Amino acid sequence: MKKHSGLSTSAGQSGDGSGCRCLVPGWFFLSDSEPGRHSIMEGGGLAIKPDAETLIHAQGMLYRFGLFLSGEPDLARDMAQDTIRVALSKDWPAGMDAEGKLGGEAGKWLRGILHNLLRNQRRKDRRSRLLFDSEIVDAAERRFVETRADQDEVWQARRAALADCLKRLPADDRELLRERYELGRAVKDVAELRRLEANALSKRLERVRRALRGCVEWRLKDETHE
Amino acid sequence: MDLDSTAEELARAWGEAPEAQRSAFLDDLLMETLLMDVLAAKGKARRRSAWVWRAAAAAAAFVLLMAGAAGWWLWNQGRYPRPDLSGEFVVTAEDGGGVKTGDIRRGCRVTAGKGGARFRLKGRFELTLDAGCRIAWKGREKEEVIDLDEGRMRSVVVPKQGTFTVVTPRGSLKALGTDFVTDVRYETLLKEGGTMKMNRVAVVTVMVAAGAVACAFDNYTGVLNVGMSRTFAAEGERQGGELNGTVVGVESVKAQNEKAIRLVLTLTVEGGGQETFIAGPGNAQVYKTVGALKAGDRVRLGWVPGGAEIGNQKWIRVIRKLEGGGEEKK
Repeated sequence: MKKHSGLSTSAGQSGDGSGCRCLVPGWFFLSDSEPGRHSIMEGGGLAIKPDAETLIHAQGMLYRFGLFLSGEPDLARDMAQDTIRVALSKDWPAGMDAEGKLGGEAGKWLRGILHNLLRNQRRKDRRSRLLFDSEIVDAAERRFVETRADQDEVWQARRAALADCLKRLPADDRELLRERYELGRAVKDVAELRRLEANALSKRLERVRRALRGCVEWRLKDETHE
Repeated sequence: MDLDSTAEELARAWGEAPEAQRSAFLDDLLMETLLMDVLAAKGKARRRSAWVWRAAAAAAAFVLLMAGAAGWWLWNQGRYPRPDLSGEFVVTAEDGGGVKTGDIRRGCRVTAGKGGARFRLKGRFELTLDAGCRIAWKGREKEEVIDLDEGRMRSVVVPKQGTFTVVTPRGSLKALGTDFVTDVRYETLLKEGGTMKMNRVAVVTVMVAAGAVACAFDNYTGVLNVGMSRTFAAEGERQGGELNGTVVGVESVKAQNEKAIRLVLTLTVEGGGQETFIAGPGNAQVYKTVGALKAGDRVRLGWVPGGAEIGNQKWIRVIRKLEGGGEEKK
């Protein structure tokens, strides 16, 4: 993996054509260069920096991956932002394609930072349910990429399909999902309110999710054929 | 192995589970992620909405109770609001580094994502940023300044709460208690003139929906009133390029007093053809590097087009001599 060097954020501009125009002073995004392209830096070496669109794409992808690992939307949101913060203080690996989108290496590197941040967070907060076993995390990341959950367009299509599938669910199942995910209640709290065993409720939730997964896949295939 | 297990339980169960069970678990995990992404956001919005109503009711009760207490009013006057960002956005610090969540300070830059963003300083202003809009929050208390680099931004400014200025690449706008839209975009124009040249032009459009805006642009100073709009165009950064080539020769152009005023570098450019590039003494490092080049040397350079007034030449902004194999010299 080739890494760049000589990153300068204080590159100036001058009217006579001297100085570097790769970066606007104090601004990390490439301005007049194409995103993800190598640019000669005044301080020497080559630099790759993400543009704004890439960062926004990265933030969405990191939020989803953080949610995948932690199951906590607020934590995932904070960790995605923190990952961007940490990543901006480092040299980015090559791996963005010609359009500046995140390729394999850069995406993997960002997810690695996020995983480390989540692991540190878990040490601070033992109550949090986070995947920390490296074997599980590796498998989860492979599945995340295989199913193209790292791609905004694919994820948005799934969201739309899910919204449609939710309408087709029986009212009680919909209410159950609302209590668990919309209101953010723990399984044991929902079970208590419904006077059920937590294990039984957990199994029921699993069945509803399985049904929804089948529906979402069917909807997406249907759209592809149309 | 299910989603409601603790991390430790999961780790144990994972080791013993067959492949099919692991795969089903990951499928279930992904489905839950999708559900959380869709439903948790909905719940948060509702809770926020419910919270707003509860807060409004509480505030009303509070105001009634404290109606006679001028001390609260005085205390409240002393506080300056903190910024509130919502929507889809990325924030970077003034030095280009990242910003910790909730730690948005003056100098920070905000770039709105596809869904747009909202930047609010309660009681002072509220900005609506369209997708791709880039701003920097500057100024100081009661003298708010927003640098609008690119994109469309609507500013709703509360009157009589200090000044509010929008700085664009072309000039600045001062709000006089108002609601106005500013749009900065760049157009790339092709110009003929000896050689083909590309100019990047900043176009600033101001539309006033309420109140008035004082404009200070190069060719216009005045006030735009409600319902008025005006477009200002300015020449922005000029775009150049980067290339590798082999030196054919370096020629010194001298003034009448025999003093060298520029160096003309002729290159055989990779990909074919010969081109000339100019190095001016204003950029000492480039000038020195070009002056030391010999025929056959390989270089990599970045250039920008000069203006029509200097003959539409390609000016070298950065140059590096390459080793024989094309590797950059350390």
